[in-house]
Amino acid sequence: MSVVIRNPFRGSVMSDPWEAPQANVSIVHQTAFESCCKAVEAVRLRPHSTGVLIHGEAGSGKTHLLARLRAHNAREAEADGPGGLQEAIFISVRLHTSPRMLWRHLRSCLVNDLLRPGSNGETQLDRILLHSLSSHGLVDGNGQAWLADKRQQARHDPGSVRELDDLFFQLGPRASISFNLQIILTHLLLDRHRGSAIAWLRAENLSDQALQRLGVTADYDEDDEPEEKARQTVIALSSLSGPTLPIIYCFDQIEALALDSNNEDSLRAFGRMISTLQASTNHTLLISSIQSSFLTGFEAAVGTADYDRIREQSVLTLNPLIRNEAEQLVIERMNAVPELRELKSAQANPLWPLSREKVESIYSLSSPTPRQLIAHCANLFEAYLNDSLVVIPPPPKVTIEEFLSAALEERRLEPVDGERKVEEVLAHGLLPLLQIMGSEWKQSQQQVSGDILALLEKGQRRVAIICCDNRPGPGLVNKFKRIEQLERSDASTEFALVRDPRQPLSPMARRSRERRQQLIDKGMKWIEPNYEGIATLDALRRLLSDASSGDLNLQSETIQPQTVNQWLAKQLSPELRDLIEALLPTDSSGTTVSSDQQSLRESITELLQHHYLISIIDIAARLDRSESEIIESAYRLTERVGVLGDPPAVLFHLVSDEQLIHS
Amino acid sequence: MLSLSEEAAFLLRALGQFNAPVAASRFEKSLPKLGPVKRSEVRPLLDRLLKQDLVRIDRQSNKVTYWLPALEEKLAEQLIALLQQGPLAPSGVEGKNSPLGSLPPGGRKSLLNRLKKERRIFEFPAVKGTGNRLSVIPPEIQDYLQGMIEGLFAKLRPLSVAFEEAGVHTKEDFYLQAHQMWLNSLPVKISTMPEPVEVPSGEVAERLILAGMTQLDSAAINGALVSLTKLRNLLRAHFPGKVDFDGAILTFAEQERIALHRHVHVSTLSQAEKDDLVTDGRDNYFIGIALRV
Repeated sequence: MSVVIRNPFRGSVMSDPWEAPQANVSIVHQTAFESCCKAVEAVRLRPHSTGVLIHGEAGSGKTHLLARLRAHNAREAEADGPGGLQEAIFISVRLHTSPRMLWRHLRSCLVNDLLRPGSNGETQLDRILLHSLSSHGLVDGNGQAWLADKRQQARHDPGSVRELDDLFFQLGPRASISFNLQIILTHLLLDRHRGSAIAWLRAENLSDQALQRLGVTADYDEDDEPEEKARQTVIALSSLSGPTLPIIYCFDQIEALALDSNNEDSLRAFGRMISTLQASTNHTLLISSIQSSFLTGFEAAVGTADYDRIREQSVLTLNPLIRNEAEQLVIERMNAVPELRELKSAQANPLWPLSREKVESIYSLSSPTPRQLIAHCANLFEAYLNDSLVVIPPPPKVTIEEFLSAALEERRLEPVDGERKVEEVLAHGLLPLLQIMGSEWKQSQQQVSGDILALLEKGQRRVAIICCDNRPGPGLVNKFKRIEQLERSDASTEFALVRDPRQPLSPMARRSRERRQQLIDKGMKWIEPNYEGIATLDALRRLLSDASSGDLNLQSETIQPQTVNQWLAKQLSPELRDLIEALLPTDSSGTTVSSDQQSLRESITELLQHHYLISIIDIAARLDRSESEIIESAYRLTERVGVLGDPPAVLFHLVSDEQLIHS
Repeated sequence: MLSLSEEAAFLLRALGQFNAPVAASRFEKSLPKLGPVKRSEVRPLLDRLLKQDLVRIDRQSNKVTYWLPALEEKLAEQLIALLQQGPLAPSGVEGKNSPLGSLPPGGRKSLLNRLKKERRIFEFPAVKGTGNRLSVIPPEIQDYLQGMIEGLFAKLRPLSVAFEEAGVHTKEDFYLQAHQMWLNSLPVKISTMPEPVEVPSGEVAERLILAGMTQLDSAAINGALVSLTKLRNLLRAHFPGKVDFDGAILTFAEQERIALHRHVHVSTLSQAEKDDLVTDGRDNYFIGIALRV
């Protein structure tokens, strides 16, 4: 009787250190692993944050090493039991972002991982807050029981928690936890207003009612220095760490920061961020991982002082495998499949059903990385067939074009929200897109205000792109005022003001609309781009990020960024061309939307967001417009508004496939 | 195989803190009392490192001075930068304020000889004036001929001696004779062809590679990656051709004592950039070398 076995070598790429490592071979990268453990120990022992730099070829096991470190910390803490060593807080940061938004991106990743529940349902944020309370002597005994009790009480009494107030008081100005942040942390610990509190931590737009419910004061200057505000939040949250509960930050995909050609500035910004984190925290380990071929350029770009901090504790080299390590890895990988392990136990050859000769044949090409070895063995394993062993056949082979097309589509279907905002998508993706298109628009070298996400120039023309996604109200009005000042100080620059098409400016937001109108009257462009364009741009920049970091693989081959660039140039979707045409002036004069038309379109969108289905007669009456005007505008809003009837009688709120999938 | 103890690595790091050669006694005093190396062990350990070509030494009567090859390389770069501005007399690079001023006389001489051997600098007779000159550009014979021809013209004209009477029928004859006369008169033999270098192999090659790695980065002994482009430049005197260097590195890698790291985005490199890397002819381009620790 034959046994059907899954191929133990399929699914080799580990892209997230939160994944459980498949098979740990202690001898592979053991020195590097031990050095990481020592570094964790170092930040536990003394109040001095430090840095470790890991580098290796693509597929050398950088992410696997981080996953192994995380799992090791968890196991160690579990073995120690309550009151013993605590599992370090683990934060994974993939740097597929713009260097102008580094701190905002870091805050987003920090919040996501802090709110990640552990095996007992307790989040990392719960753990770090309980730990702080215990270490300040504010909670005795079982912290979890105390928390359960407090949560129970909070259901009946909406007030604050005295112990937390005491904690924030004791942490004092050193921790720089703002009053608003204290309130938010209290809500999260007590499991109150969770959705709104998380949105606040991520600096998402919240209505005045939501802010009121949370009890936080609105910060109307919020976009003045958004990076600075994000930096403060990150440092405040990191200051909750302590000698018994350090924080490990793992920075991956550093290469993705430099998707456009201006590598040096991007990497310098990263170096400065690491130095700031190191100087402003006490028990934080900062692990940065990059590809070896990027190392020399990285060192030169970040500068000596910051580079020394990045690698202060150690520089760890992940080498290709030697034969002995390769053999152990292959054996462990096969032993991870119980049915196969049982069959193997009867065999004298430890590599059965593979032969040593065939496994080692990869060395005729050069020492392999773990990823190359696993892909090589996957093919060998599938070629093996006898009476007692049937291997589940491999997935059908695809061409690079088919693979890239599927990879882009997979990323495009993920909604642009939460961690990934429209502003970040544009700031990170716009320049690579322009390069792919062969556009003459380039990034200006001029220093720009924090409000401007990109300043592009072509010949004598210069366009500042600004995202205006703030919720309507004083925050947005203030932003419009700052834009007006910018325009006054530099009249030669054109302005393109962008707003997420899913958040139209409500007719109720009178002051915001008036201010915007003043800007439009000054010749500024107001753009609510097609959501499809934004989603495709988001997919494009993430695909390029994966390629530049060596994380895009077809079989064992790492797909090079240049290949992706060339493919994208051939496959550029109309949505992306439309997006660029909407943002940047073209030589041909396009149709201009009058402010009145713009206002009407927003009003229709706003109405449909609340009523979903509404007759044209009704809309015309509500907005005091003619039916023909309503119909004409509706036909211009094809991605947001559906039209029913011939002649049109009803409008309805259009929901895209992606929104349906994720709703 | 070259393997360095923690103590040796500590001494190398400590020596690296000095930006000039340091007297043995001062170096010993600079070491922490509770450090991994006792004072009595310093000199024997340094002598061992000297044999492995990892430190340099100068002994003058009672004074012993140590420095790292990396410091020597730094001074060499400063000297080359100075010579790029124009040739200088050897005395001009030996003074207290010159780049090599901090080196003891023995070290200075040996460094100059090494740089000449590696053809990174050249010494030749002054075109105008007396004595020799150091330069980063090889001597141009034309410069000397020009001077001699002008000198000859100046002498022959007042005497009304015709070229034919001197056995010179054409201008080319005149150049050939002048060239020959000049070659015979030179105090230093100049060869337009570099002397053939015997390319090291086996253990000698491995020792040179390891010494070069630690010279470029003292952390190499702990497994830090060293750029193969920098290593190639450093060892050019020993492995003058690309094939020689690439061959030595690839042979060494076969023994699994060192690891080579590939460039993953080869298609982004120009041909010149590729040539600087080590290649095995199977489309692998290696950027760095690391000792397996």
